Amino acid sequence: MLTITLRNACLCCCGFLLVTFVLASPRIAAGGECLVVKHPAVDNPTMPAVIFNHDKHVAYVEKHESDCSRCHRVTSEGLSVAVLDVRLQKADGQVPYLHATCTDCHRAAGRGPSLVACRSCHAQGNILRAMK
Amino acid sequence: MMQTLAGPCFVASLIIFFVGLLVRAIWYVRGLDWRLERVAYGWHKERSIPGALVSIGKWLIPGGTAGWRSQPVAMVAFFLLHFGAVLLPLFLLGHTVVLEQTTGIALPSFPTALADALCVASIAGLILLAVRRFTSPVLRQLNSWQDWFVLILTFLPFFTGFMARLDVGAYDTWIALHVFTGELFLVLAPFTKLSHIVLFFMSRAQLGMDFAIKRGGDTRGGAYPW
Repeated sequence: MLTITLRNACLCCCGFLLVTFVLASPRIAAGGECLVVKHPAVDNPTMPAVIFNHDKHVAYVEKHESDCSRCHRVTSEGLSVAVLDVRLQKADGQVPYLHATCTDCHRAAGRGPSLVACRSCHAQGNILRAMK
Repeated sequence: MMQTLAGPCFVASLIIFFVGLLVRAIWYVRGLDWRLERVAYGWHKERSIPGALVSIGKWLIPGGTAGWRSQPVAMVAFFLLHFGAVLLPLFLLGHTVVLEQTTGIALPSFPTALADALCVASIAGLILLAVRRFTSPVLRQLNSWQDWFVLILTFLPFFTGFMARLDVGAYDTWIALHVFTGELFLVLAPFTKLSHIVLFFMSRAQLGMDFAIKRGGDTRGGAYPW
């Protein structure tokens, strides 16, 4: 029951995510849905955009009996679109906030790219790797 | 594995690097003998300190010394390598992000094109130095296995880092190798000729003091223009 509820909730928030993330979200068999992170918008980016494998994260959260609040704030209007409090950070603090939020969780989980593996996440143009 | 390699292993290699080089610097000073070298290091500070600084400074400028001007090929190869070798570890974007995230110290970072150019120049400098080491009759006499070893040890972090940056395949392997070879460089630096990272400054300072104190260096524009 819990799994079904979570699944529905996560599918709903995927819709919200598409508003800020998105555009290219190719789906490859067994690869999961990948989103191009569009927020925070970076002027003259020096690195390729981050490709975020949402399905993979949902699967991890479900497997470890956690829920969407690991990444999304639960508000009266539903789940927040952006990751946790990223929008509350000042403009030049949003990228460091995401770096810390993502990699701290990866470190705690013992899975996922560490901060030094820049292009594991900054993988636009190399989407096949992001699907792994 | 990457978490350990980039975490505790990196901290340990930094400690070995800095403590090791500090010990090498202390040993250098303790090894000085004013009687043997006939230099009154403790005297004439108004001449010796500027002499030390000028000697260091001039050797850091391309063509700044007669020694550099007399061997232009070596000079070009040296500076091609060392601009990147000194600047990239500090100011490459990937490095500054990790530094800021872990320590809060925010350094400016190079634009990608400049970082790429410095990296390619460093690899070119390393290849030139290897060719020179192979072809110069003098160096062929002086060569030891360690000279080749430190060249390779320096080459590997540049090469693996650049392969990771190009992102043409096996990224995770290249970045892990980059971190590993970078740590190998840091750990071995105090125990090899890479200790010139600090000993260059020590020996230039010593010779600068020597020439300024006892060889009339202060009469030649502040220090002997060696």
